[in-house]
Amino acid sequence: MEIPLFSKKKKAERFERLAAESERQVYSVCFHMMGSREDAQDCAQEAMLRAFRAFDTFRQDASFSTWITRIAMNVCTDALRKRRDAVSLDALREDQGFDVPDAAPTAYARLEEKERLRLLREGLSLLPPDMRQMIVLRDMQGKSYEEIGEILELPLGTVKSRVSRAREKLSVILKKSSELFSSPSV
Amino acid sequence: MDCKEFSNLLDAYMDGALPDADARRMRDHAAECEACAALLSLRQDCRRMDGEIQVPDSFSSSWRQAIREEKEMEEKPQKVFYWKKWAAVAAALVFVVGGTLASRDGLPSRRAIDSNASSYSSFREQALSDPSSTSYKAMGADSMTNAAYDRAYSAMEAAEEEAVDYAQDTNDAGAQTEKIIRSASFNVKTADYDADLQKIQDLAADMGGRVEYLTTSGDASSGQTRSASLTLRIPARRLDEFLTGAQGVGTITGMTQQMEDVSDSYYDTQTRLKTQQEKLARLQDMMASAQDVSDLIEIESAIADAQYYIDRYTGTLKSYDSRVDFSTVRVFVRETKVTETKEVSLGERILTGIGDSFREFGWFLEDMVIFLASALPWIIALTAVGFAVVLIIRARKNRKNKKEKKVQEQ
Repeated sequence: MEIPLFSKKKKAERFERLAAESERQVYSVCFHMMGSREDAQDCAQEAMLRAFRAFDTFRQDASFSTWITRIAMNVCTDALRKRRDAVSLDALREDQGFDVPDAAPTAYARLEEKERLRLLREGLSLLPPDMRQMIVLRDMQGKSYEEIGEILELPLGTVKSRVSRAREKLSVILKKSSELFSSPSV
Repeated sequence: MDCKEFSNLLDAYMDGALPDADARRMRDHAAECEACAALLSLRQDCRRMDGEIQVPDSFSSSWRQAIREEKEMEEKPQKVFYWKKWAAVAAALVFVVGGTLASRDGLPSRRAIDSNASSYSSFREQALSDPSSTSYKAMGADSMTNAAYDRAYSAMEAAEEEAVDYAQDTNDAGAQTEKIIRSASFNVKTADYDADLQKIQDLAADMGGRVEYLTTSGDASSGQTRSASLTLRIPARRLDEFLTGAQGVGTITGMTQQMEDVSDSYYDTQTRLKTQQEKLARLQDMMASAQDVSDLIEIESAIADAQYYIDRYTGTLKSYDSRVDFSTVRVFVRETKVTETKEVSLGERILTGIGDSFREFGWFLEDMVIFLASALPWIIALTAVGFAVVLIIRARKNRKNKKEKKVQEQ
């Protein structure tokens, strides 16, 4: 439904008020998904603009935060799809498997916090976008499975299974990278 | 607690949803199990990563600025759009109203002319039976030369010229009366149309004249104003009497009288006629004594010529006589409606004005519908062209926007 001219100003004010409350949420999602400040800022700004343009269609049956997070996720996945490092992700996916339920990154846990965070960031960037979303929303931002289902418009069962697979994948990546990091150089 | 339980409760532990006792058990297990400790550490690091995020000031300001610019862009085209919309509405109004007003005269009338009306048919009959036309036989004369014919003809031509010159030179006023053609015309306005029309015809008859031509128009039964056009022939000597008598019929407007002195022309023609008659007599004598067949043929030809001119001059003189003796009077009679005037109050005038306006507006709307229907092919054609132009412009704009977006993304 088109908002008539006389309330366009009010639309902008209302949007800015709501967006300000979700500003950190949007930036955080974009930062974790994209892995760099510059890309995060670009995607977050794009997400804000898309949300503003689509504000007329915001039906208020979901919270504004949920709605704008969905938009931010879509912007990031679009951007990631265009990036070249997706090719290397596919290669990695084939190398690793999911059939190591106890691939706990024990070596990872022994590292210093700074190193752990660096490896975690790298490991996250190696995950495919659909898995990365799960780690970001569930483990980083602490969203409930129901909330994740609303944001990504997925059934609860699908969310749970994807989260589980994403965690396994990340564990394997971190196990490998942390063992590599920990092994003494020859 | 075993690792499986630990793994199952880890989500709740990270969300702070576990009772204290369970939370303690979780910590105790992690202290003993390296693998579970690693999992816990990983989860905690994930939360820590998110907690360390700080929103740059540049992002805060940039997205707000972007929203403001977007808002201005949305408003700008819409203002233009509104302007364009109103301009389009105004142009459409000008087209419809202006076109209706300009073409009103050309639109089919509310009343169709009845071409079978009696006044038109009587007019046509009169025109067709006009008795005033005269025709002359065209006589072609052989141009063969013959000594006798040439000599006789030359002599007769010379005599004819002498007679004309003599008539012009003498100018004897006593032997020749003036030949004056008088004519008149006037208009009559009358409220008593039938009676006054009859009065004029009776007056003409009383003067010894006649109605040469009468045509009427208008229909009293349908409220139309009636009128009549008469051509009267009044004896010239009683013309003034007739015109005086006509003053008492209705209201006379615009009377004119004319006098044309045709004396010279008349007597010229008379002389020429006499010459031709004498010429004819001589030719007839010559014919009686002619010996040669070729002479006979030439004299016959000359006789035909002479007869032609005699007929012609006779006709001319008759016409002059007719017009001199009988003046032509043209009368136009028009019926006027008798209206009683009375004082009209302001309220009545306002109501009448409003009523007239509504009626005029109703007629205008009728005319507008007819105009729009008549112009429909043009409207359809112009709309199709306009639509095509808009599509082309939009397609170009979209292509341009996609190009710019691609450049920005790169």
